[in-house]
Amino acid sequence: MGMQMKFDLKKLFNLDRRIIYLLIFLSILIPFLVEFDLPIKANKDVKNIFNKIEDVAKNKGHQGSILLSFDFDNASKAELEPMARSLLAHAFKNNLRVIAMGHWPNGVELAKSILNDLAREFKKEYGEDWVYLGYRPGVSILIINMGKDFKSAFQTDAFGKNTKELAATKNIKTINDIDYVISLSAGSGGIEDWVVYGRSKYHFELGGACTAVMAADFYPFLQSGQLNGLIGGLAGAAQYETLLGRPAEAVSGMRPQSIAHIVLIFFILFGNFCYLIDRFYLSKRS
Amino acid sequence: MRLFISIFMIYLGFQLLSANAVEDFSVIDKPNDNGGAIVVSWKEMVAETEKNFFYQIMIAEQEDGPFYPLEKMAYPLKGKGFEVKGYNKEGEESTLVVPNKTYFVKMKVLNGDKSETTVSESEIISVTTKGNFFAFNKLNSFLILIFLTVVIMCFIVYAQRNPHKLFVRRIAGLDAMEDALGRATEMGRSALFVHGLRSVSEIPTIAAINILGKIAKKIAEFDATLRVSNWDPIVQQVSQETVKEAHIEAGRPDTYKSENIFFAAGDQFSYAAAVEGIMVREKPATIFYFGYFYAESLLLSETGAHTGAIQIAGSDAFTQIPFFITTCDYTLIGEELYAASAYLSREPKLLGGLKGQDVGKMAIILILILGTLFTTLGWQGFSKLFWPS
Amino acid sequence: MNFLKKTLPLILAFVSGWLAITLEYIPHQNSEATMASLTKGLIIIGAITAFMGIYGLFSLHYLKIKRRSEGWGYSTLVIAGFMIMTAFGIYNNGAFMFQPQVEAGGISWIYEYIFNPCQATMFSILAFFIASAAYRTFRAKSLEAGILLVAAIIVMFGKVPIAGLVSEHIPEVAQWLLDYPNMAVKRAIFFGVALGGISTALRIIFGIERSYLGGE
Repeated sequence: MGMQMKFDLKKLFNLDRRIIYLLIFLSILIPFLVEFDLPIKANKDVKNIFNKIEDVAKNKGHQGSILLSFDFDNASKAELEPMARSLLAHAFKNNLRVIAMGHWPNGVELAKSILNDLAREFKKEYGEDWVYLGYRPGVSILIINMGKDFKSAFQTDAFGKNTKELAATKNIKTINDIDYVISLSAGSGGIEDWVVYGRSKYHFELGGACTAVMAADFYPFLQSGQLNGLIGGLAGAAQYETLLGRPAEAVSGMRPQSIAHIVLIFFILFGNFCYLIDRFYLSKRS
Repeated sequence: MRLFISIFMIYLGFQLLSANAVEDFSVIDKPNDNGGAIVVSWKEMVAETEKNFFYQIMIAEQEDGPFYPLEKMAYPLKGKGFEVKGYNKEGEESTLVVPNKTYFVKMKVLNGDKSETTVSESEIISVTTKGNFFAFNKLNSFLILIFLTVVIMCFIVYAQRNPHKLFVRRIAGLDAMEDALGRATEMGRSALFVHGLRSVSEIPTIAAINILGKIAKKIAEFDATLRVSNWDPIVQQVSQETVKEAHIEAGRPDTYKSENIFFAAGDQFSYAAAVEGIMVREKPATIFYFGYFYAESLLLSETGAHTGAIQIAGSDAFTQIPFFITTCDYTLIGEELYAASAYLSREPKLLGGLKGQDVGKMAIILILILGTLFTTLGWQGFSKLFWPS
Repeated sequence: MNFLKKTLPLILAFVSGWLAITLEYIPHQNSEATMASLTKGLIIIGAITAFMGIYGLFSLHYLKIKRRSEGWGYSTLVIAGFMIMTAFGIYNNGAFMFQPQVEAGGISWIYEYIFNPCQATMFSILAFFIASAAYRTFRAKSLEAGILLVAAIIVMFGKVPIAGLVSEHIPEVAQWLLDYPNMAVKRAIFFGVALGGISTALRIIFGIERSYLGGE
């Protein structure tokens, strides 16, 4: 009997990975189809970014501007696009000027489509309310240049228009003339570069938004004050959407994410249960 | 009575004016910079009435003007160290403050109501900008750099003179390297070396190339095949050169094949897909991952684990280390990646560098303990010595 | 030849290494201009070597097709993909290559409907791989591993909103684990990495470490 049980446990222990894949797939798919509410509470790091944008809007009104750096591409779109949309919606809602750019050449098309969507929704005029500067190579040197002479770093926008003639960038001499910078980052050429080459040298206010797996990398920057806030992963995006009162993709994404985490926890516990039983039988036999 | 009221009003005006006068106004060239900024300071005004006032810095290129206004600043505002890097001339594009030029600066206090009349005005102060030759605000980091350089160099020299006195702890992943390569040779399958996703100017990539040189030499001696996948063309070129030299050194230049050190793809996930494809098709016996990795780490190493290869990884990417630990047989964590080259070659002068590093680490631990102690006791002076300014 | 292959690179490494360190501490405008030129030089070298990368890629896949090595069909796909993308790039939806890239036509279509889904698929596979790797390897084999296991479960559960339904303290505990024990480890690794970086840089600058040149 014992041997039989042990044999079965061994089989369970070496569970075919396709079964795991299938259960993970279902745990993501079903909550997408079945709607239920979850309590979403923003943490302090997300709130800090939200409050900073509110502050800029209160103090500067339409003269206030924020810079969004789209440092990601389609691979991490699922996590970072909802953040980009919420941040843009927040800025546009408060009548702030938005200057957008990106360190990732593959993210240009994606950034353009997000910006166009939101500008259309909030009826914002290109040049006056928002500007897209596009991609320039160099990451570190580009950031350093923006701190020294913004116009030499970006003589034209992504569409070939002169930045000296666009209302939103006309008065920007250096990056310090921008009230708040947020990097939406999915890897190299993102938050870390903005901290090292931008924030440390020119002391502007910097916020970050990143994929969940990277978030732990940036906690030291939060503690040192080099980042004033951080939106981490889809959960962070959902928190921002909740603060903004504009629940969208991220909030609905919390259902599959919650269930998938629970399934994952179940697998880990189950694996450990099998392991302990196995060890128990092994020690009994010896 | 009218006279009395008039005198009272004049008195009140004076009071208001003097309360809002700009005191301790100073303008200096920003120290420790390239000459592209001016620092304006004034005494912070704290009176309750001043909530209704604005402050405005005015800058001119000639003493008699014209003065160009900077953005209005609302109360309350820090009166110290406001940095001016540029200004807007009327009807012209924005202008930057440039080095070796004299500027004239004054400050106005404006009424907060719609009239925005000037309540008071400071004297005009001239300042000439200039670039500095040493960043004194980085003196602490400079001294630490000198200290670490001296310590590490001393140990390198010491190690060269006393090569037998060095003890380096075992690093299991590196000890297993030779067996892993031997396994590939016995099985008649190739070994695969996967570079991380950073450029050749980054230290993890250089460390990976250093390890590659050692692996390539062993491979040449064993007469096995080593395939090296690259994400960056420069890294590919350097890797080709490194492997070629290793083959020459091992006395087997004939076995070197440049096509084995290939550029797989320049995009993160295309790279992951290309390398995974190689793993699945060619089933290498041994796979090495060295360098800085991002989200592709688990995609690569999990696929490698499924193919049954022995996997050895080394990375200083904090967030990816757990993925390597769960999927690879051996993982070099953080600085072990940098130490690998010295460990494998057993060359005293390289090992001396490791010893120097340890002394540096001891110094950091000591500073951390003292800093924590003093700060807990209420004195921050010691910690501040190490703060960036 | 030895001079070009060994001595000159070592001299270059020594001079440019110290130059970069020195420039970091000189804020003068001339120093900044020199630093900017050096960095631009790196970008230019990078652009040139992109051609070498393409050459390497082509020769590898060409050889595979020529020798009919295993999986040579995939190599034809690589070359075809490259050719098609280049052709659409040059055609530029009728505006041709000397005009800025237009936002329509073949390139946009391929980017949006082939490249995007492929990239997103690769990233999504991570969810499945994480699950299978965690199941296989996350075992409480020792006390330390057990503590790690408990911490991991708390963080995994506490980071999703459903935890709030059970207790509002779980997200707080999860955040505490990330803010303190996790940060302590991160900093410890970071100190080691920074020192290792300095030591490696010095070994290269002083020509003690020469493995990257192929020799000892």
